[in-house]
Amino acid sequence: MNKELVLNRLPVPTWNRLRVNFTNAEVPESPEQIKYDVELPSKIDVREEGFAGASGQVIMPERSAGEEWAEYIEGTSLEEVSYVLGEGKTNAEALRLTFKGEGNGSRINLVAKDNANLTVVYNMTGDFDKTIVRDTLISAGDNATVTLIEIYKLGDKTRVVDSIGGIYGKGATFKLYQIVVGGKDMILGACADLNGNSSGIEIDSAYLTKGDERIDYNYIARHRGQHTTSNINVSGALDDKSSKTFRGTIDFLLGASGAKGAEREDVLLLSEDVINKTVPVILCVEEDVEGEHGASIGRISDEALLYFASRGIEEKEAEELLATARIDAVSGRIPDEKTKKELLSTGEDD
Amino acid sequence: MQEKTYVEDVDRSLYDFRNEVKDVYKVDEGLTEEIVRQISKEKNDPEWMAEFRLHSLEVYNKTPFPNWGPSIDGLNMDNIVTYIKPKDNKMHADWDEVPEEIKNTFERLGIPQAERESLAGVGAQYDSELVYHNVKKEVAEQGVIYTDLESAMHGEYGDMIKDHFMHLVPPTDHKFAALHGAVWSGGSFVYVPPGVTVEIPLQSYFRLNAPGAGQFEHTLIIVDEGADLHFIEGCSAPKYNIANLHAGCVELFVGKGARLRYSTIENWSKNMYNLNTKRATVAEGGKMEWVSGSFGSHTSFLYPMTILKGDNSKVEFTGITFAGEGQDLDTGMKVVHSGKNTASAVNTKSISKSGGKNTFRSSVVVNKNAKGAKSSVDCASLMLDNISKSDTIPAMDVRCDDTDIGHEAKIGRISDEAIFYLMSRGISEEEARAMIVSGFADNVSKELPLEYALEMNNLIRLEMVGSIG
Repeated sequence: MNKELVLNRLPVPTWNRLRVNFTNAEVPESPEQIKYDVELPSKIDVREEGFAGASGQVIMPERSAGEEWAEYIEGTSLEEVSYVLGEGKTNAEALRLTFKGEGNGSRINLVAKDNANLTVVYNMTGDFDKTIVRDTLISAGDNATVTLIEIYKLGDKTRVVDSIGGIYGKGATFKLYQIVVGGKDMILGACADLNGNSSGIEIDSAYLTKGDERIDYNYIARHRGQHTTSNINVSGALDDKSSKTFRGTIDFLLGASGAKGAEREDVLLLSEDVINKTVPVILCVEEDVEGEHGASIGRISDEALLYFASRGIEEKEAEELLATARIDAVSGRIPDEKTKKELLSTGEDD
Repeated sequence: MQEKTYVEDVDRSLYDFRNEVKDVYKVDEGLTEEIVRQISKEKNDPEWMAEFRLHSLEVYNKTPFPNWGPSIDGLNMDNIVTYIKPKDNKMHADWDEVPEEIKNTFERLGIPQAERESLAGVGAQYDSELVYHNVKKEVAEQGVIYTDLESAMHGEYGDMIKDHFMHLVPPTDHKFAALHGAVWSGGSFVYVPPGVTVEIPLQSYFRLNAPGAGQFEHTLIIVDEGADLHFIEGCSAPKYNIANLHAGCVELFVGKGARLRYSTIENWSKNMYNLNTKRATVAEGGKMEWVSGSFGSHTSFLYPMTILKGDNSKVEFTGITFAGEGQDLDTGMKVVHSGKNTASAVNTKSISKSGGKNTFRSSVVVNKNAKGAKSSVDCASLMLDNISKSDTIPAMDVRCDDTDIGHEAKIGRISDEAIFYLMSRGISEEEARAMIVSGFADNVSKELPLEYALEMNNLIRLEMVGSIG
């Protein structure tokens, strides 16, 4: 049995007829626990317990998929699994969670105590005729860093709802690398409560869509602390009849003096049947901030095509090169050598 | 501790004077079928218009209030008088024939003087009715029609008006478009024949004097093939403690190869709910230019929209919004690219201070067949304190691969470095801040006729050179 949810709400609504205020998706009413293949570095503790902040306080973070999602996921029988990295520790080898097809739901909490440096890789590769629901909550203590790498290489039958929420202490950083090269219906996002002074979020996201695939993003940075930073970069290419909606919100709240936020989207359109929607929002009640967003949407410029043609590369091949380059650029920046190597070598094999 | 410049609101004393409401005809407060029929009878509507009003009322009653944008909880339609006019109301073509008190109102606002010095024609509306309309002889001789919409509806342009009236903005568009369709009154009709260039601007000025009243003027402009017009719209009202409502409608038809510039300096008082709708459609090779300055109102929903229907059509939008204490101004623009090789260029600025709230809201839609569409949207927001609010909510919906769409937005405060630089050149701090804010607003003022640009700059500058505390 499935139920329909309203997901990925824009923090402030705009004209209804644009159909960007939220998305709808059907999710399994009673999802079954995913059995990940887990590569667990010895320094990380595994606890079957609910979300707890890095300093022990329990303040639930806002989830990117929204309130209906929170009510839904907390109402399921999915067990919460918390991966905790102790104060001052670094896991040299990443915690790897690989999906092999068993189950369709998970609730994971990632906790990095003060000065810890936690790296986690989610690998979702394959084609599964199901809707997968994934909920991740993050807590990073003072000066901690959480790096989350999400790889989605899915077939055209798989649907995913992936919600991320997190709370960040003084000087803490959340780095999210998200790569999507397949999936029938991908509802993704991340929300960061930048509570601590000088905390920050960096999102580096790339996608390629084909057929009638759909991606729906909702990234939100809530700047509460002083000198907090957010950088949201998304680039991708749309082909065939695929579609994508990008919502990115930088929210400068009162007290976030000295905060800086930037978001950038770069979209390559490869077919006349694609639909691209972009909504880059800045909300501001603080005077002493700097916020900016930019978007560039279009096809390959004539100059670039001419350049390729002068080197004997035809238009279709040039399009593929530039589309793949978007994925490769983010792959190349991933701070986990094993994942980076896998992604880049796959590209070469193709 | 860092010192801060305190910037006063825009000086409104020029506009904030009122006449006693006496010897007027008005309908009851609220909105009922009986009131709509009463207005229709008062206006001597042709049958199609009377039916149109009642249809609009039906749509209004079925349409929900917007679930986005600023709160309009303070607006109670049961308290709004939708039609009010002086009992001896007539429209005149000579200021000396306009009733003394009303004439004095427009004198204080500088309208007759502007007409003498720099305009090709003027329309002046007081509450629900036009009290003055005139166009210079040489412009009329070019075949330019500039008259009140209601007279035109009964004359030789009746069919043209029927073919265009609320075709761009149908009553089903949104709740306040439906309200407008039901109770509209006043407004201007302009027709510029093919190939005619109107060298100096026409202007309509709207003054709402009565407390608790609504103004619902309709402006319909048709600029025929190859013609060229600059139209200026001004508006103001005295401040009352109860809500006033402005739900006007502007429909602009820009013909093949024609150009229309539509400039607005909006100065409604701070009890005004400004729920205005403006829309233009542009034929092949035509060009629409919007210049928009929003300074007044308690609450605004204002997004001039352009439909680039013809191939190679273009739109430029230049706007500034200044929100001070108690103001929630939600402004922006919409553009739809439908023809091939169309282009839109948008440049907006907003300034927020003393608890004012600014929202820039936009949508750029590129339809599937709009090959070669180009769009550039640039918006910048300046926060002058940390009790104000400034939001930017742009949206782009692109359904065509052969496009080039760019969007840039920035938000921030006056940089200390810029102040320091100017002060190092012997300029005082308050002058430096005034210069920077005036410069920030320069994109709009340079697009306005000189007299209006000076007025706008003076309004901002006078208040900027205030106090440092």
